[in-house]
Amino acid sequence: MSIVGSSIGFGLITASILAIAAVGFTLQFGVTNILNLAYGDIMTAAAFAAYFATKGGAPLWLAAVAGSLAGAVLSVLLNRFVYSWFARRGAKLFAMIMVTLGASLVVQNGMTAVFGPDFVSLPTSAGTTYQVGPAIFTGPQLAIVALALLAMAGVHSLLRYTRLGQAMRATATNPDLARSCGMATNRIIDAAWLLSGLLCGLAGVALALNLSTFTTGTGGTFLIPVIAAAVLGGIGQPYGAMLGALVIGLATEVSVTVVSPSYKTVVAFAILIVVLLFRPQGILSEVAMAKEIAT
Amino acid sequence: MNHSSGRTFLVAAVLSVVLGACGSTTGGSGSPGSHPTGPVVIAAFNPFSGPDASFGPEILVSCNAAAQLINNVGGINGQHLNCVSSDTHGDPADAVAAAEKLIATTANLVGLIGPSSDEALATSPIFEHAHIPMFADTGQAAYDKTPLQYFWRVTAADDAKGNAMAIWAIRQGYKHAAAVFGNDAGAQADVPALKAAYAKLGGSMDTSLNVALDQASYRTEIQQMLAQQPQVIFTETDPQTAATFLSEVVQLNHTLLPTIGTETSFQSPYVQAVTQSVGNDQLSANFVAVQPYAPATGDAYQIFKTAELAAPGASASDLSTYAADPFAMSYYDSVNIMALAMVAAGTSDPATYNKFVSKVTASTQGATKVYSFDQGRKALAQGQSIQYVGAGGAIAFDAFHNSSGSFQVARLNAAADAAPLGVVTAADIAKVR
Amino acid sequence: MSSAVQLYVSTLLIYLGVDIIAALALNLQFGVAGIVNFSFILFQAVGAYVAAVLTLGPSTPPPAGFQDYVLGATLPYPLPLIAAAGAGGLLSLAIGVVGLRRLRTDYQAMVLLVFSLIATIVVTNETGLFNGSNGLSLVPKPLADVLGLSPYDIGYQWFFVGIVAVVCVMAYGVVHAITSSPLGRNLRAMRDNEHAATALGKDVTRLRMLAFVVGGALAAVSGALLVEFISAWSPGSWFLPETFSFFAAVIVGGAGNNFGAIVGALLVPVAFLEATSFIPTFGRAGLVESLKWVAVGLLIMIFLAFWPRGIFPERRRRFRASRTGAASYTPAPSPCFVRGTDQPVDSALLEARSLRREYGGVHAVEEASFTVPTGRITGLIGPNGAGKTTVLGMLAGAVAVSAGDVLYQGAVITRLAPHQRAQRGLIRTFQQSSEFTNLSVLENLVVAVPRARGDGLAGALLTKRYWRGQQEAEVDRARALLERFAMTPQQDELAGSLSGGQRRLVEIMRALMACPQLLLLDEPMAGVNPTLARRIEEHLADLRADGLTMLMVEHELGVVDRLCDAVIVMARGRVIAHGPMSTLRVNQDVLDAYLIG
Repeated sequence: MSIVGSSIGFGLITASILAIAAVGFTLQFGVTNILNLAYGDIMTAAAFAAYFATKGGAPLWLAAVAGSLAGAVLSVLLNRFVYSWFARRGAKLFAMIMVTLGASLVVQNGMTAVFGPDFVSLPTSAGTTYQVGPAIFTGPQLAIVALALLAMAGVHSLLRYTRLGQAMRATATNPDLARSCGMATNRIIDAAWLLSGLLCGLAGVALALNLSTFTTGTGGTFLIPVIAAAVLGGIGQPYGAMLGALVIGLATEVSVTVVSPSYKTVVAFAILIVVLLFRPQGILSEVAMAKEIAT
Repeated sequence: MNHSSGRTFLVAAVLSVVLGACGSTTGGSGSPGSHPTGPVVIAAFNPFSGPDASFGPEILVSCNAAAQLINNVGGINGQHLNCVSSDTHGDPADAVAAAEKLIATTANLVGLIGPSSDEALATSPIFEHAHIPMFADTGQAAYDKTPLQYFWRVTAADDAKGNAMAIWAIRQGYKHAAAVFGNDAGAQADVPALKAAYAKLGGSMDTSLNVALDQASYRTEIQQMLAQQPQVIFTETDPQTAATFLSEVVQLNHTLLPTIGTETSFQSPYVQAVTQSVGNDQLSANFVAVQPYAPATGDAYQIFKTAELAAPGASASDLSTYAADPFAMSYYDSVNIMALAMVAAGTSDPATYNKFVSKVTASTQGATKVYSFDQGRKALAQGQSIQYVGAGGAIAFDAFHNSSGSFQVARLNAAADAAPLGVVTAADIAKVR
Repeated sequence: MSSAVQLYVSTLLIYLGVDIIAALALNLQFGVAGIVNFSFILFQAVGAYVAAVLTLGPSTPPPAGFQDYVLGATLPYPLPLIAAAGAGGLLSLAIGVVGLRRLRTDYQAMVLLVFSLIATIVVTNETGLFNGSNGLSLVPKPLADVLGLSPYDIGYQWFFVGIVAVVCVMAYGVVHAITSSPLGRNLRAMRDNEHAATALGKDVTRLRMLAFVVGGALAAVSGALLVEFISAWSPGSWFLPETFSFFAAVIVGGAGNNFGAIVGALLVPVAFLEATSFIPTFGRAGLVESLKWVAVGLLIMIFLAFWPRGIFPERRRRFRASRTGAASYTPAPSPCFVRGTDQPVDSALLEARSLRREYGGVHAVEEASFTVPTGRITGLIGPNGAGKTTVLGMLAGAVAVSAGDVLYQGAVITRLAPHQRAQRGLIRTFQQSSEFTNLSVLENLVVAVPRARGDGLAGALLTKRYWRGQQEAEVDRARALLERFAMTPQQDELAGSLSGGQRRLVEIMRALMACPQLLLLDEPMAGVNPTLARRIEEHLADLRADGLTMLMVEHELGVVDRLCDAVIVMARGRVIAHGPMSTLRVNQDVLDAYLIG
């Protein structure tokens, strides 16, 4: 039984959650040009929505759906009533980052004020475990991996095969051009927030399941590796985010076999920094570059 | 113009806040040295926010429990006793300002419960200088031989706690162990003493994990740890980390290994997080934790328990947790010790009564044992010398104002008042040093 | 005041001073230079740690003592403070080299955030570095023994207030000297439009590093003062949220305004966060604390919404009236562009050799070879999507070439950075308006002056006396140019508030201030009213007469006809024709391209 083998297996679970979250994050940024620092807190809110759903007697799958929908609704609302208001007034990139920072402080601490600092859990039947290769997984963990694969496949086919997806990609590459080509960019942007919000909510529920217990600060803490994955892949690049999530997820877990576990996040961050030294736009950088020239 | 009026308004608002602050400070302050007959004040100087936010409320509740009993029998030398809170945010910089503010704005501040490890080193010199006795809840080794005159420690030192964990494990026959500690200050304080004592007693610490807090997964660490086949896990981490880590131990090992935690494991966020993630059955079967010894029997304890359960400012479930918590007992006892020292000194002047603190607790020849403030007050009134035996047992201060105590080991489970499994005495600990 | 109250008030004053220094430092980085430094608190921390270990004396690891750290020494005051500044500067340099050179602004912010987290993890885990998570404590208070004062006496406390005040004034002096100098103007230009600043020859990497390092050193000084006062420092003292409270301070006070930063420091970290400790605790433990951070978040958002420029907006800098009286315009008022003696008229000043540019397999430019003759105006025309702007970008260096070479004055400059090309006199303008929005019109012009006195750190710190003389001359030159373009009435307005046509003019005037030898103009007359367009045209002709070479992308064929000596025609990424307009008019390829394209 190889420790590296099983750590790769474990890394895949972390990578799955990261992938769902990072693809949502990167879509948000790519299509709407907003680097949303409140993303992690919306994840937490979604996890709480799922938690309250289970408290109300809903089965876990229904709670996960509720959480994802909560993520979607909150994201759309946040954009409609906060971010787009600033965007219309011409807030530039770093003013916008500050706005999202403010939103993050409000959402996270607002939740602490309302829900309290207590730890809560989603009820999982932790009993059964499954041996897959060298690693042991619980049912919910396998479900997380399956959901991530499903979500990635869904995002892929949406972007590749639907008009909406193509419009999103076009908007991400060059919003002015997309607008001048007669695309209803506002509707596309709403759709992007909805889609990324769904992913955000799903990631929040998956994270809560994986951590087995969470509080109001959980999503905010998890946001940093999410950002690292998105930046690593090249921000605005869904496929890059998937790749970044895989690298970061595996790196944090596999690195433990070599270095002290207290440095596991440092390894992931160091990879990010080294990659950026050589590819300043991230791994998949062509579109990001084209976009920069267009502006 | 709009802008400038907004600006003027803001500046005015700030000025009024600042001036208001100054106003309230001057209004509320009595100059040190004069001792009017108004109420005397003991402050819960501890984190009420931040990572250690659970410390402060328990202190305040326990202080109020003691104060109620004291005030019911006429107060201290006729003066009413009030408990106030002072939030340090668990941050030294904030704590320094909070300390200065507490001293500046509190009339008749006669003592503190606190500071905690988070802020003790930065603030204890300030209270020392202001001649305010402080009953600290820090285990830091820096205070093992402190020269501070107004510093008192009823809590055990961290290194003694590490020793106690090792002794208990060896007693259970666990010779191979894994140490899993968070990289935060509180957790790291125990580790050196734990390792030294465990090795000295013939144990082998096969794995020593210094874990990053609040990660999404610790499975690889756990797999490595399990490969060494430890018989027991020593641990102290924050609740979130513990919940994730222990649930993954259950996942990969099918059951929780025998685990020895510390007194932080008994705090309600930890219990809450861990019972939800590993389940109460696994937990009560395998998880024990060491904490300062408090017999939870006897007159003093019964008086404490009744008062604590009736104290204002906390939910019934919190109160019942506190009532079984040796730390709550130590806070309550600290207030009683200060109050009795003031009675013995005949004054609430801190500089005077501070010298009586060790006198009302020492087990000297002919001293009357008292189990509450009221008993002590009456005995002192009759001219007797007293030894206060607290809810947490007898307290003997050494030359450095430390009281070396014993430890008890108890199961961790959702029902807070589990009976102790056994005791590691101060004498046991002295042997492994 | 009783001494207890004095202690508290003086403590607040000390915190205020420390926060002011920190806010000034962040204002320099964020408000003036536009760096979103999410690792700000790290630099305060490193200053604190370094000052502490250099005061504490040799490390005393357990079991003898309880603190284990590196560099332990007992240096006389104020050496620990100075060393802390140095350490902050060095760390900024190291992090800046990695994080600030080639990355986009948003990536920079994220990378800095990541650095802050890495630092926390390293300091926490490497217990031998700064005593791990327990942190350092019992740091002796500076000069207390020398003065024979008890460090907890009110007398010493006021003495420390004095130290903080002196350092505060010095910090203000440094930041003010920088922000009011030509260097500060360059920083603000970079903040407003990095690409445009680069195109004027500003080395934005160097500028950004400079602001980052000076800000980092100042942040470290604030940390050093703080640790000397509270005598303890641990990872708990520099949680990430502390960074956000300084951002809130700068945004509330007014980004880019030093006085605003001071007011922000008074309002947010001191008054706002301290005043909340007077609110009686209510509800559950920690409720007030969470509401406090909700309020900080709302404060940031409300200010960005309603007072985005803060309580004290960035000052609009006005220049004094010229001492030499009203300047009269001369076509060549400055020696800054001269026809090189080795470049005879009509010789190739610039040559493009088989330039190619592709994006992910799509060719924006397939093959572009041409020369730009000295002393002439060359037109570059072609239908939409022909690749004209991309070619201009490759010539200026903003767009990397996929293949081919650019020769300028006979030398290959393909590998030169855009600002290096600009410094050699190759100046471009942009198709989209790219004025420095928060600089006045006059400042937009003056900022373009190359090699101005006081545009380096040393020169800036020598203050006004050093650079005022040259600046006055340049202001005169700029005023003359404004006069010529009838923009004198708008000279003190913010460029961002001008009409589209006026902004084009500002951009052209700005390019002229940058001492061009070859001007690359990207549709200079687009969006300008006919009268002004005519004036621009005349002026370009004047400049040619004076020996300036130009390459001009233009849609209006009438303008090209009147102005250009030779014309290059591009279509679908290729140069399809080259020559005088008269011959091109009858060229079938050109006609096809325009009809089909």
